[in-house]
Amino acid sequence: MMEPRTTYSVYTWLRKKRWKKKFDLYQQTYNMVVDPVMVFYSGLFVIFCLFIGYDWLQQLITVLDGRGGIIAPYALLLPFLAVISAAITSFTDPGIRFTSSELQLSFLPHSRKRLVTYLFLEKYVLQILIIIVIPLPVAFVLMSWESAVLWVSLLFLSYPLSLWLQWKLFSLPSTHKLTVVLFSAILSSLFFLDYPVLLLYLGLSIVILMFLMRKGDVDWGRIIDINDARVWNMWLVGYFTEVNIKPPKRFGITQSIWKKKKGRHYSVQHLYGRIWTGYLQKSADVIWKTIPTVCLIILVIPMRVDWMLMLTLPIAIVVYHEVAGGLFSDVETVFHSMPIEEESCKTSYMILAYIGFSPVIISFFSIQLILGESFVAIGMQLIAIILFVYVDLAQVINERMMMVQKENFYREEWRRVASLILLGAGVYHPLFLLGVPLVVFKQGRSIRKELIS
Amino acid sequence: MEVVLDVNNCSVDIQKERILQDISFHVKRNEIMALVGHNGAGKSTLMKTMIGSREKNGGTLSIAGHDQDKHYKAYKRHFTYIPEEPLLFNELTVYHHFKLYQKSYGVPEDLFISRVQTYTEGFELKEKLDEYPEALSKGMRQKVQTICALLPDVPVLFIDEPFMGLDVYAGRFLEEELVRKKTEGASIVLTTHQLDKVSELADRYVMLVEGKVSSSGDVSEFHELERRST
Repeated sequence: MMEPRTTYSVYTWLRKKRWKKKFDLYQQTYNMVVDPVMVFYSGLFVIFCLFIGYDWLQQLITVLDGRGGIIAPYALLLPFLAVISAAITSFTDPGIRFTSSELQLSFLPHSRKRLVTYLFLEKYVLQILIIIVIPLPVAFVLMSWESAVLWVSLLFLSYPLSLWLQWKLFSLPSTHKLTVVLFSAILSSLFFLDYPVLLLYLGLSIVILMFLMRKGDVDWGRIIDINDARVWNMWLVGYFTEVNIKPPKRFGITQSIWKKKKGRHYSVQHLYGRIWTGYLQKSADVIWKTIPTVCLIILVIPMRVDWMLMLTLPIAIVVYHEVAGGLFSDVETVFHSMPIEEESCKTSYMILAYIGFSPVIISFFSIQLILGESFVAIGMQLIAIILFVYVDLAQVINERMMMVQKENFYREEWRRVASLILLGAGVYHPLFLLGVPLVVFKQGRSIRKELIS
Repeated sequence: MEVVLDVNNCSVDIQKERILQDISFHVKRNEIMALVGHNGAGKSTLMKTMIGSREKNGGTLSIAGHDQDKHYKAYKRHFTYIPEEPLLFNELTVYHHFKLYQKSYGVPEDLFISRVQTYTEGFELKEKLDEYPEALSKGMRQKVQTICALLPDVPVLFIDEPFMGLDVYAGRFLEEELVRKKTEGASIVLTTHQLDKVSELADRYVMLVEGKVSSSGDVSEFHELERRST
C-alpha cells in the first residue's frame, strides 16, 4: 500500500493545477484578443515610461529625503489602523482565500484547519515580500533608520494580526465588527491625546484576544461563495470570452445585512421586489455604469459652465428613465412564464427605480449648493424634479409593460418634452417650475385615461 | 461479522432545532445498508454527519474502531463519499481528480492505472480525461465523482442517491461495482428513494422518520413493511 501524501503536498499540487488552468485561460484569451503589433508598441511605450519614471524618482528622492520625519512618530498608530481596517473589510471579505476546492479537499483525509493555516501563511509570506520590496526602501529613504525599522517591524506584526482578526470577524454578526471598529477608533483618538501608548496597546490586545480566542461557527458557505467569485472571476477572461468559471457574485455590506434579515414575507409585492432585486443584481454592470454617468453629467459639466445644468439635468433624467424602462422590458425573462399581477410587478420595480434615482437628486442638490443657489430655489427645483420623476417614470414603466404585452397605446411625448424644458428653465429661474405641476398633473390624468381605454 | 461503522446515539441540532435524535445502528463488513425515509426525514443530514461535514451535538461515530472525535484524521482515511450533487474541483481535469484521490488515499500506481482503465471504460469517460468540470454534463460529473470514490480500497463507502443523474448503463455498472466492493470486504451505506434498488442491493435497512430511527433490520423485513403499507 502506498503511503497517502501529506496535506501540504496535495495542497501545493492543487495550487499548481489552479495556476496552470488560470495561466492557460489567460493565454487562450490573449491569443484570441491581442494583436502582436499592439504588443510591440505597448512594450516600447512601457520602456519609455520606465525611463520617465526613473528620472521622476531621482528628482522625488532628493525632494523627499528626510521628509518622512513628519510621519515617523505615528508608527505606533499602525496596529490600531490595521485592526480598524480588518474589522471594516470583514463585512465583505474573509481575507483568507479559502475556496470551494479547499473545502472539498477537507472532505478527503485532509485537515481543514491545516488548509486554512497554509492559506494564511501563504498570504503572510507574500505580504512580507511586498513590504520588503516597497515600504522598506521607501521608509529608509524617507526617515532615519531607527524610525524605518520601527515602521516596518510594526507592519510585519500588524498584518498577520489583522488578517487573522478579519477571518474571525467575518463569520460574526455585524455588531461585533462595529464594536471592534468603534473601540479601536476610540483608542486611536486617545493616542492623539497623548495617553500612554502601552496602556492603549493593552486595551487593543484585550479586544483582539477576545475575538481571536472566541470559538464559533465559521460561515463556510459564504466564505467559499465570496472566495470562488474572487479567485475564478478573471476579469479579462470573462470580459472577452463571456465565460465565467463561477457565476459572479457581489457581496457588499448591504447584501450581507439583507442576507441576515429574519422572517418570511409572502406578500406578492415583497416577493416581486425580491425577484427584481435579484435581476438588478445580475444587471449590476448596466446600473453601475448608468447611475454614476448621470450623476457625473449633473456634477462635472456645470462645474465648468454653470448654465449647462439647464441642459444636463433633463438629459440625466431622460437617460435614467430610458435605462430603467429598458431594464423593466426584460419582465418576461425575469418572471419566466409565470402569470404576474401587473400592478404589484410595476410597483415593486418602481420602488427600486425611485431608490436608484436618489443619487441623482443628491448630485443635483450638491451642485446647486456648490454653485451658490439659494435654499428656496433648490427646494422648489427638488420638488419639481421629484414630482416629474414620480409621474414620468411610472408612465415609462406603464408603456414598457404595454409594449411587452403587445398592447396599443398612445404616447403623449410633447407633454414629457414640455416638462423637461420647464425643469431645465427652472434651473435658470424657479418661476418656470410652476408650470411643471400643471403639465405633470395633466399627464397623470391622461395616464388614467389611457389605462381605462 | 465484524462491525465496521458504529453509529451510537447521534443527535444533530440545526439552528437550535433537533434534526436527528439518538440515531443508533451499525454496519458490518461485507454489508450494504440502505438509509430510507421520506424527504426531510434526515437522511442527508445523517450522511453529512457521518462524513464529518456537519457537527453532531451528541453521541459517537466510529469507523473500524477510529472514533470521529478522537481520531478524526484516521477516521477520514477510512471512507470515501459520493454526494448527491457532484463536488468537483475547478482547477482539475477529470484525470487529475483521479490523481488527487490516489495521492490522498495512497492508491498504489499499478492498481490506480488498472482501476482508472476499468472505470473509465465502464462509465464511458475515456474521451473526457482531459476535460475540466465546466465542460462536463451533470451525469458526466456524477460519473467522475463516483469513480473517485471507488478508486481507493476503504472500509466504508458512503453514497447519497447513487443512481441520480446516471444513465441506465452507468447505473448497472455502478451496481455491479458496489456488489464487487462488498464481496471484497467493503461496507456501503447508501441513501435512495428508489425502493427497487434497496431490494436489489441492500442487505439491511434503517428507516428514518422525522429524525428518528423508526425501524431497522434485514431487507426482507423491509419488503414486509412495504407490502403492509401498500
